[in-house]
Amino acid sequence: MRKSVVFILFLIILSYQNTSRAEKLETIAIEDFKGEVQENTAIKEKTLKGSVEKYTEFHILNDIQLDINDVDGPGKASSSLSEGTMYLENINLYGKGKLGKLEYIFNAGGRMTNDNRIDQRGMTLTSLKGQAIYEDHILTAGDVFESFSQYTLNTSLKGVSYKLYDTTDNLPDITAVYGYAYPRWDSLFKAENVKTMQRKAYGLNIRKDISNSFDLGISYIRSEDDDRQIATETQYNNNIYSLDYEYRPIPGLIVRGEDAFNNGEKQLQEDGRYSSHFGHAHRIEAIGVGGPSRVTMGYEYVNPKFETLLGSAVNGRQKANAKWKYKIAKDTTMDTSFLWYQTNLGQGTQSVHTFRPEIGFTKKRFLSRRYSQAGIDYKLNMSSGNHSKINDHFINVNYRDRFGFLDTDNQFGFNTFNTSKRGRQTYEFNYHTSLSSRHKAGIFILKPSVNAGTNFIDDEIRNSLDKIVEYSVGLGIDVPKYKVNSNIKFGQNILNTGDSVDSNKLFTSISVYYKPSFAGFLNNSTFFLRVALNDFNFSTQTRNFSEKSISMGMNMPIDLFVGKKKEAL
Amino acid sequence: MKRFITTLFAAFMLIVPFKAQAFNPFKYIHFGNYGSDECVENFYKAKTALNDLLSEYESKNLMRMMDCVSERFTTDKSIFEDNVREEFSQYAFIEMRHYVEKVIFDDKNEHVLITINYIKRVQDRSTADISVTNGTSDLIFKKEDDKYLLWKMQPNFLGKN
Repeated sequence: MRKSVVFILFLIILSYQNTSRAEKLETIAIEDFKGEVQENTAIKEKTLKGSVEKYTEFHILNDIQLDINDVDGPGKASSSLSEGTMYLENINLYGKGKLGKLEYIFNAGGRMTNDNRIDQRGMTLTSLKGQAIYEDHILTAGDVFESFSQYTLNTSLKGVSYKLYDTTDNLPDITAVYGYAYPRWDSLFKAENVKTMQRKAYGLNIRKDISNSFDLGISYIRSEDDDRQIATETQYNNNIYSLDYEYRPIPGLIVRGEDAFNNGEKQLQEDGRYSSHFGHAHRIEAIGVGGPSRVTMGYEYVNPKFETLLGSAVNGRQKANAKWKYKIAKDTTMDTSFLWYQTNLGQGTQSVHTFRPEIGFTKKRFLSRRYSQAGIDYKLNMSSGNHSKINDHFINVNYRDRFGFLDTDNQFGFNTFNTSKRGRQTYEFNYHTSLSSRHKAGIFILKPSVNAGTNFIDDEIRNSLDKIVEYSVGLGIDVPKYKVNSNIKFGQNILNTGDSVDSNKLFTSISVYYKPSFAGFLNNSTFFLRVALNDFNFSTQTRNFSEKSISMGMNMPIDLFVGKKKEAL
Repeated sequence: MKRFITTLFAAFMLIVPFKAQAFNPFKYIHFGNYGSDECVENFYKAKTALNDLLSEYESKNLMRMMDCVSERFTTDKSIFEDNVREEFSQYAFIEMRHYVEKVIFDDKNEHVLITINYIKRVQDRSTADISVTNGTSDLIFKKEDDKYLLWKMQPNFLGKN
C-alpha cells in the first residue's frame, strides 16, 4: 500500500515539472474530463493536417437496453412482445491506425440478449473485420463485402479478400475473394439452432479504365454448396462469368451494361441426381442529361436457367423501360415513364406481359406560395397472360405547405384494381394529413403534431366496404439547455370490415432522452426511457389483448486517440 | 497484480484531468474527437437511411418511402413500389421493430450492407387477423448525391412478393 502511494505521488510530482520540456514535445490541446481545454500549444512547423507517423483511434459504441413487458388478455398470442424482463446489449468496436506506410482498420461487434424474438442465441458475435492497407495493396479478413457486379457478387462473405488498387492507373484494379456465405458467424462455427447450408465462394474481378471515357470490368465467381440442413434443400455448384462496362462517349451521355453467362449443376434434394444448367443474362442502360431533360432507357433479359446465388437477378424475365424527366419551368417538373416486362419466359401460355405507363407533375411555389409543393401522379398497370387480364389505375395527389407556424403535408389517392373473370374488383380511397409546428417557450421547445389518415376499400367481389381510420396526437418537449428530448403520443386505429370482425387499437407512447454533460469522456452518452401502451379490442371479445412495455437504457459512444498528432496552424 | 492495476488506474484518474506534461505515460491518450470521423459519420448516415425507410413504411407513406429507394433498385423500383402498394392496401396497420446486427461498408463507402433482425406485425383489413413475423434481412444501400438509398434487399420483407 505504501509503495503504491509513493508511486502515485511520484507520478503527480513529475506531472508538475517545469513546462519548458513539454513545449519542445509539441503537445496539442489536452482536455480534462469536463471537456475544458487545459493547454493549447501552437505548433510552429507546418504539416499536413492529420499526417501522423504512428497512431491508433478507437470508437466504441455500447447500447444497453432493458425491457419490462406485460401482455394480458385472451388474444395475447397476437402480441409482438416477449413477456417478462428482457435485456439487449450491442457493443461495437471500430478502430483505425497507422504504422508508417501501413494503415489498418478493425471492427468487432457482439450482442447479448435473452429475447428469442430478436435472436435465438443469447450471445452472438455480430461482426468481425480487419483490414490492412499498404500503398496499393488492401488485405481484408473477416466480414468481407466486395461488389463485383450486379449479376456476380454483391453480398458479404466471411473470408478473405485481396485488392490491388493501382493509383497510377497503369495496371488494372484486381480483387480476389474467398469465403463462405453464412448469414452469421455462429453458422460458420456450426452453433446449435443457427446451422445453415454451407456455401463456399471464390472469385476474381479485374477492372480497368481503358480510356477516359470507357471502363471495363471482368468478373468470375464460383460457389459450391454442401452440408444441407433440410433434405429437400437444393444444392448448387455454380460458375458465373461476367463482363460489365461503362461508356461516356459525349458529355451528358452514359451507357452502362453487363453480360453474364453461367454454367453449373444442381441437386434438388438429398441423394438426388445432379442436373446441369446453362444460362445467360444481359442488361444495358443509357442515361442522357441535356438542358432541362434527363432521359433513361434500359433493357434487361434474364434467361430462365440463369442462376445467381450471390448477385441479383430475377430469372425468366425480360424488361424494357424508358423515363423522361423534363423541367417545364423553373419550379415545374414533369416525370413520365414506361415499363414493359414479361415473366415466366419460355412457359408458353403461363408467360405474362405487363405494361406500366406513368405520368406526373410537381410544382414548387404552387399558387406563388413560398413553401408550397404540389404534385399529381397517374399510373396504369395492364397485364395479360396466364389466363387472366389485369387493369389497375393509380392516382395520387399531394400538397405540402406552411401556413404561419403550421407545417402541413397532405396526400390523397384513388386506386382501382380490376382482374378478369371476377378475380378482383376493388376501389380504394386513401387520405393522409399531418400538421406540425415548433414553438419556443423559455427554455422549452414545443413540437406539437397531428397525424390523421383514412382508407376506404370497396370490394365488389366480397360485396363489402372496409374502412380504416387512424389518427394520432403528439407533443415533443425539448430542453436544449439540459440536453433533454422527449415526446408523448397517443392515437387510435379503427378497422371496420364490411362483413367480418371489427377492431379498435389504442396506442400511447412516451419517450425521454437525456445526454448528461457531467460524465467526462462519457459526455456523448444518451440515457433513455420509453413507455408504450397498446390496447386491442375486437368485436369478438375472445381476441382482445393489451400490452405494456417499459424500456430503459443507454447509448455510450467512446472515442479514444492514442499517439502524437501534428495539426496545421 | 491486482494492486498494480489498481495503482495504475488511480494514477490515471489523478493525472489525466490535470496538465499533462513530460513523463506522463498517459500523455498520448486523448479522449474526444481527435481522429477522423468520416467512418463514424457514414455509419450514422447509413443508419438514418434505414430508419427513414422503415419509418415511412410503418406510416404507410408510399411516396416518401420510395424517396428512400434508388432508381437502380436491383429488382426494379417500379415493381417494388407496386408490391408495397398491394401490402398497404391489404393491411389495416403495419408495425415494424428492427435491431441492427451489423453494418459493413465497401472500400469506397459507396455501398453499405446493413443486416437487421426485424419483428413485423400486421393486421389484415378483411379479417382483422393479426400476424407477427420475425426474421433477418440484408439491406444494401448505395450512395447517391451524398445520401444512402436502398439498392438491394435479401430476403425481401417489404411488400408482397
